Amino acid sequence: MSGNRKYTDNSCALEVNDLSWHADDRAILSDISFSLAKGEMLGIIGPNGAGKSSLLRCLYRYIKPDNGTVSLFGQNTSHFSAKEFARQVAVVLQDTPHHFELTTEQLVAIGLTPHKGPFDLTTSSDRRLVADALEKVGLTHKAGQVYEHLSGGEKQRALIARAIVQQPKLLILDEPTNHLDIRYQIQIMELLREIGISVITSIHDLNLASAMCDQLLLLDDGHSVAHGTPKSVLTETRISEVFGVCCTAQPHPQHGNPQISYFYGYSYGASAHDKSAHDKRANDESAHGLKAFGESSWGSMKRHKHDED
Amino acid sequence: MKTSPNKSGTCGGRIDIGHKWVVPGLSLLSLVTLLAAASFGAANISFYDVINVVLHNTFDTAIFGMTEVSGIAERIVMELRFPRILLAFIAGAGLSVAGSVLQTVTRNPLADPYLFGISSGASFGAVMVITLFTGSSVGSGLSLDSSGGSGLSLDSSGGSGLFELLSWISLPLGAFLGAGVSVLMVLSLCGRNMSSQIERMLLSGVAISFMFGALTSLLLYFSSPQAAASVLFWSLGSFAKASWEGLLFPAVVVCVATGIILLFKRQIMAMRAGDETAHTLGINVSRLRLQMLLLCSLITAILVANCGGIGFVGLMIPHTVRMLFPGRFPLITTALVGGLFMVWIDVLARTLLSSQELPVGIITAVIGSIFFLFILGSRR
Repeated sequence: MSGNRKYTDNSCALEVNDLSWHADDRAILSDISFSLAKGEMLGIIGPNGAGKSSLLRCLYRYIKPDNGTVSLFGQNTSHFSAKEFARQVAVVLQDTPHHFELTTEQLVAIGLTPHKGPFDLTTSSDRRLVADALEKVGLTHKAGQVYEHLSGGEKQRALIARAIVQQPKLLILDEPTNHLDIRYQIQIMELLREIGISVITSIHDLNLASAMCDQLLLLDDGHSVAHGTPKSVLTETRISEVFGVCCTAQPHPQHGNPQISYFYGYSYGASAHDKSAHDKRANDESAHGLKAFGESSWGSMKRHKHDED
Repeated sequence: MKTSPNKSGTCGGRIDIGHKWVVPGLSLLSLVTLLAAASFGAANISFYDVINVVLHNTFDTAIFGMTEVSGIAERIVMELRFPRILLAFIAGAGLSVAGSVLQTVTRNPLADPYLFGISSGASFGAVMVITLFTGSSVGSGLSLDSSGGSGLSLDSSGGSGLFELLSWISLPLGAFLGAGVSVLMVLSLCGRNMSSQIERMLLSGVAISFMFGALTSLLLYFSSPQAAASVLFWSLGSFAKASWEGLLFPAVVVCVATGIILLFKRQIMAMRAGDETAHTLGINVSRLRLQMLLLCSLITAILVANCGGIGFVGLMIPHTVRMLFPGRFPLITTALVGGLFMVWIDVLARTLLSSQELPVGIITAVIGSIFFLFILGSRR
């Protein structure tokens, strides 16, 4: 693996080989392979319906893939018992059901479940674990409040605290920054980095993914299109091919990873995945008053194509 | 979002108010209730008489040097009222626990032990027994009880013949078998597929309820008026037939089932976070839900078999307790509150009308349906 910034240890936290899954005669995931080094953060990106959530569900064993293996620290995950697996892998999902009448503290304490047998009581060290997790996500003052009354960002932090209490070696999140304002988006992602364990998260915002993730996996229609550092994955061509939008990618002034600027003014007739969108854009640019932007972008896109070829 | 901290702040404050004292306090209240409730009824027996009877029976002396209580009063308290109060307590506690667990594992705030076809199955079983024994002492004994049952019909518990015993046990047995069959049908229909399980559970419960309801109506249509009357009385719920021997089964089942549920407390709690999250916490969601349905059905079936159909308790009590103690899984508190509630409802049933007693099921249904509307209203 390249670009391991934090650890010199090269062993894999997670290794996925030839993973495939289909539902109703439609292939959702096809031959996906990747690996994740210990302590790194992997961002899974891709358009809607690319199979991000399905891939995550395969990873946390909610759905059983038709083909392929998932190894966690060298062990095949299908050999784990449900409880053993839950001690290794914590998952934060997007939606929580209604009528969720729990206080924040109670919710966080649910993370103890896989560590407890039927006769185990909640000990003082368990309570300390819960209190520490609440402190880590900055929710100590909200411990006694009803979870449903928290704000969106606080809810997400509470769910992450629950995952911390689970003491996993790998944390999987399904779009943790969804519906959050930009401050909370950055806060959540930085919080995930601080925990210091391996993290896999699906994420929509490419700039946030570029800034925060060590590795990115780009999915399109169930296929793995690219895997590697943000710099290698987030090229202008790939983004236009997979997402069907035009953009320029410049090094971010702070972290140096690609910073993507999108162009606007697509006509409704254009197919989202059509390559000719670029030509169309080049022709229509003057009409949409984007000339100054457009020319530099078109130029840089061409340059990029040369670089890659 | 700006206003929520204030609102939730008050909720947060309410949780902490001495919740450590809730269970001991309720236990003490239950003990007092056992004695106090025994002083209500058709026969005029005072609270002090009850205490005297208890002391007389436990220590064989009247410690406070009070006047001897008459033999008949002592028999009424010891053989009629205490078993009856205890049965009411066990029934209330059991139904509340079952309701609480079912509401949590199906995440349906309106789930009730009776929603899963248990009571209609039990009714069908009971009607089968009564119509099969038509004209025999089962039907007549029941209807006699129902007309004179203000807790004074001593003769009904006095029988000792084998036939008496058989007829006494056949009704609960039939009800239990009927409940068991309906639950097995629900269980076999609801499947192991996590994503659709809750929906299938509720729908199959409703369907089986209707099916057994129709069969019961059919049987009733062809049965004697006498049998129909006794079925009606039984299906409205009553503790009038309580006896010390009859307490054993419900007590054991309710206690053991509650104990098992307590062992799964964490898993049940985690189910509130949703099936998929519960799965990621290492819980076999569909299996746990089926196990809990089975346990709750067992509790309900044994109670329905002994006291008839007493609806809405399993719906009302867990909600009330949750409203008072949000964010907890207070199973013991729920059980105690349910027991207390049922004892006092039964006292009401015994004393509301001077000439005869009301079936408890009517009172709980009146209170429960109003409560039901109240929940719907408060949930926007």
